[in-house]
Amino acid sequence: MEKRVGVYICHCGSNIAGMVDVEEVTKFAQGLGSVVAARNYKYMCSDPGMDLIKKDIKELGVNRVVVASCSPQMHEPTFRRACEDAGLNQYLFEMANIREHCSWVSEDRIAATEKAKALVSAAVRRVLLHEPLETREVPVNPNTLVIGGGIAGIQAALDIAASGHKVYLVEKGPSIGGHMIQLDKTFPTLDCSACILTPKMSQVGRSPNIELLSYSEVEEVSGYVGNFKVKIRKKARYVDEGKCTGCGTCMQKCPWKVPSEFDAGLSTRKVIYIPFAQAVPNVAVLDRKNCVYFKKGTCRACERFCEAKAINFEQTDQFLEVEVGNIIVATGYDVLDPSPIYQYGYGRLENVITSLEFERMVNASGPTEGKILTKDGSEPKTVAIIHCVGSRDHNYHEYCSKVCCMYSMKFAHLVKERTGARVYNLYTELKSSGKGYEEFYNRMLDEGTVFVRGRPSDIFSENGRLVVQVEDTLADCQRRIPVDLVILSTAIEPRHDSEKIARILGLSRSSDGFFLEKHPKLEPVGTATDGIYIVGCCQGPRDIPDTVAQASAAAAKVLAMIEAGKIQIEAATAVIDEELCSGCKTCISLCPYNAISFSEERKVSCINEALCKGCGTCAAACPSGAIKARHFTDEQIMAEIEGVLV
Amino acid sequence: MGTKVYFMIKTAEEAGQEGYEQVLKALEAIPEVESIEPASGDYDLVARVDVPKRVVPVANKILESGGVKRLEVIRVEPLEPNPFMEEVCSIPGGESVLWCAQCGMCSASCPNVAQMDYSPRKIIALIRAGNRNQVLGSNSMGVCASCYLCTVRCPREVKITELMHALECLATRHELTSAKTATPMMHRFFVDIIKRNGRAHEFGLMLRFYLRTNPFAAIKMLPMALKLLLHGRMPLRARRIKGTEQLKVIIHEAQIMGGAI
Amino acid sequence: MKYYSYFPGCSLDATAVAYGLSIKAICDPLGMELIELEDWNCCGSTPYGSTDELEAVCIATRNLALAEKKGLDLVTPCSSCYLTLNKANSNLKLYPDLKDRVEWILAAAGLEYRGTVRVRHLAEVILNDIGLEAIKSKVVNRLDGLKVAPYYGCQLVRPALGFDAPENPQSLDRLIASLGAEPTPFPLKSRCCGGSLIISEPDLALGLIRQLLESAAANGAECIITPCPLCQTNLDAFQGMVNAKFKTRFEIPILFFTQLMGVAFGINAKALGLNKGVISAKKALAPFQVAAK
Repeated sequence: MEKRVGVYICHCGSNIAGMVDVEEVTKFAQGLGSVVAARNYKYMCSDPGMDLIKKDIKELGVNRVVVASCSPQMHEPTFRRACEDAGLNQYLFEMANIREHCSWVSEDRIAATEKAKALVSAAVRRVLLHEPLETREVPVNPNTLVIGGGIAGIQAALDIAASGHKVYLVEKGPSIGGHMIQLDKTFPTLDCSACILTPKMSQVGRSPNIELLSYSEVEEVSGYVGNFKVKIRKKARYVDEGKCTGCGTCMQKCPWKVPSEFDAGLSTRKVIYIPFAQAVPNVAVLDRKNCVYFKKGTCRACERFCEAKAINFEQTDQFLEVEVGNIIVATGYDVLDPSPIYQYGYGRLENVITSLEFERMVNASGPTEGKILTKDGSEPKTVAIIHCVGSRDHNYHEYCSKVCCMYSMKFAHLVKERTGARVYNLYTELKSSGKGYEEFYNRMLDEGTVFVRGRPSDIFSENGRLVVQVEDTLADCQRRIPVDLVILSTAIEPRHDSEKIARILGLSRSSDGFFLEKHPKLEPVGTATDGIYIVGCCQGPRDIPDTVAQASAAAAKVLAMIEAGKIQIEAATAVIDEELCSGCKTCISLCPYNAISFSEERKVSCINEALCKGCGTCAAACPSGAIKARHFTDEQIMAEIEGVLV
Repeated sequence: MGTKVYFMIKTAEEAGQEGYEQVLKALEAIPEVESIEPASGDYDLVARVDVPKRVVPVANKILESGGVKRLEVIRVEPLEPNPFMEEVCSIPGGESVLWCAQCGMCSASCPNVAQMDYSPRKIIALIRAGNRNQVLGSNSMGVCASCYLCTVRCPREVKITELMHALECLATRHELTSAKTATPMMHRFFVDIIKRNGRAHEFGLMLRFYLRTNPFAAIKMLPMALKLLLHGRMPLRARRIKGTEQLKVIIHEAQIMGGAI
Repeated sequence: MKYYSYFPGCSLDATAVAYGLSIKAICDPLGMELIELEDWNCCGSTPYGSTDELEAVCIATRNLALAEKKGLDLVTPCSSCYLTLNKANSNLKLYPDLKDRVEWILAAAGLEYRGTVRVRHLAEVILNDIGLEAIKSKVVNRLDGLKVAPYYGCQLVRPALGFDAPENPQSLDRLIASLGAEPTPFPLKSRCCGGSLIISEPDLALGLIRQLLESAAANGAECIITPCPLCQTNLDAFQGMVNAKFKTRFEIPILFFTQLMGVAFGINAKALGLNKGVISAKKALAPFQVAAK
């Protein structure tokens, strides 16, 4: 069939026309082979602009379209749709970027116009070789996987479950709740953290649509958006979840104690334990690593006293495979260990504690029942709270951990309220930009908190007291402040196992180690992999309101996809000519999306089109030339190059 | 696309008016030179140059004309008019002044901060305010022990100790050093001895230093000096290297080049 | 046999004569040969670096240019020389304009430096290239019961060049232990002794020295070892002045770490320059039967 090309040159206001002579380029385009119509217009992406294209397709029989305008990243979908609307396959369209690649980077009008001509010529030659391609649709599995049972995961799971669709909520620890359940009060309202979280936790426990897989980890993920297959390891609790009543007798009878993770090491727990009173599920778990039965073969006291006969030492890890359409990653954060910061004496000096340790101390359910005490059991008369420990510091983490200024002020309030002690907040910049945050700062000033602007250099122990050395940069003097207790507001760090999670899910991480979002402004919860979302602190430090908002945002996106029921797969994928394939498997290891597998029967590689993103790596690498990248064939690319050179 | 730099040129007195004119002619012949103006104070001429990439080839063209006693280069970034800030930024290591968050970690860590006119953090604040004489005339640089505690602890990787050295270089060059600290004088004697002999000479240094600053203090030092002498740890004669001429050439050329960029 | 170019530094000929002697004495048992760089000049150190940056870099680089011809690592026992020469190396890499100027200036003097010399501190070379196991095997006179405080000084570990932790280093502690002695805790182990400020700001420096001696003594040190010639002189030769000024009664011998190694290797006092210390080490080392010559 005769190929009839329509070329449309956009002025883009003065963005293009200001540097490129669009009339000249139009005239040039008219003279190219197979071009039946060449037009220029002020804004091709507008309705009248697109009507020009549609009209020519309908009336002039244009069956190949070139638009010379901005970057395909901007309007390729727009123009493709215009073609489809007029009845032309969207892949018979090509864009020449004469804005970002031409007018915006030139200072010479003549050179810019020549370049625009070359780009148009290239696009025309290429589009002549385009084939009509069909996007495919695949169904979307309505189940969702949420990894991580902190506030982010809980919120996302509840939002999705409310729609009636099923959610698998996988949590590594024995109970959901994350770090938020460890906190005492939340800023700026000073709501009790557990009081606002536990209703949500029990909702999760009761929801018929949420299958809570606690004490479990995701082992493997394969598949693609709408159709993921996930292998989950349900770690052995050595307690039968169905039988355990959560009575706590085993905890009482267990003779062995180890440091409690929940209490940040400030107290101990038994080897068989329920992590905290409001745990969901309210089921005991046996810590195999420290259990004397597993180490030496003795004890089994818990088993003896369990009335429900729920203890089972023969339990093994279980594996299950679930199929889901979308995955929401909500794995949370870890806290910096300040031991390497030698000058602050954490681990060396007594009464230097971290923020998480203080949260547990000040919590009524914590090791001191909420009393703020120094190591010798007395209440401190002066307390120093040091901001930015390990944050905003090129020696540790360059980023700001966002929440520490607010919780440091919260600590100031709690210390003042409970002990009446004099509190020093040692800060560099005060970050209090959320709703009600600045007002909270004012309240702290009213309460008499002493704010010293300076980053302390050392904490010494002198005559039995701690002394904080700091330059008061506003008063311009050196200060040595004797205190009884020092709280280090430590940085929020990516989870220490985030590399493993990133690998399993194919997630990228930014240079600070947190998971990378799809676009920092417009797609904060998406990732480069469709169907996988990141919410909460696993993407970067943030406070609870932002985390909850992100969780709901991801849930909305997931529900939108479930509601649509099916998704389009990009047609510009790679295809293997099995007759040419020699079975060398070079392509398989190169594919960044794990889209290629090997067929043992046919001894050739096969591409899973739904996973293929059309990156072209396999096509370039194939030694037999058996792989063709659709819409980016060698012939098409050669034609484009010729168009530029000739 | 180049950077703008200023060439501060001092012509050699021996070359006289002729030498001055030769330098002027050489400057005018260079296309990168945008403007030439007479200067007052330490320098005779200031030329604004649009340097393509590297400064030295352009500087060489001027030096080859002869008649230049000293050529100092000041790199100009588009900052608000703060020549002192630009002067500091143009010294290798000085540009780190731009990153300071004024957190005070350096000052609090400094073992000698109590004796300083201005703490290290304050020095940086003053540089940013453009207070050249205040900074260069302070004793802070002379009291700095170069222990680098500030540098390793700085959360923004500001090279504070290097900055102190650079500031003292500037203060010495422009004869603004503080009278409150004897350190610049000690450094001067140390350097004089090296220039002559190629090696340091502790006895020579201490002799000159105490005679010049405070002979009575020398008396306090005498017992210690004697002990060192008796233990064979204080050679009276200075050591000399063979390559003193080579060293002299190096120092002479460096002096003409002027400045470290 | 391990070969190195050797940059002693100006003080090895003067106040740190004992350092030079003890280094020479232990080279043989350690299997090291230190070949002194011919006609090396003073590195310039802090004084020149605070006078003229360009001249300072150039005279330091003269040594690097000379060393490059030998093709060996350049090893120095002086912490200040170690810092200054390393700084010259890294500045030439970081600032291309500076490199251009230095090249031009050196060329005028008939020298060339291509940036290939690795500058190392003697302590790092002994601990990394020779290693604690080899050192232990040469110990014939175990220093059991001797309480030694390791004084690292500041410029050996700061700025952090990768040798050891910049505030709480441990390498010399391990060395002391390998000789059989007991490394005592020393919270100020890497704090500054004042360096050359002992001359121009003596009150300041004496205060710093006093704090160091006090911290070492309070933790039970019978002697202090150090890898830096300036530190040794400040703590040793000026200990008397500290006592006079602050009415203290310190009497802690300050040894170079190479001297302590030499004692453990069974080498005699004269070869190790043990009699060069102003504060005598006789009492501290009495239990270890060090031969006089």
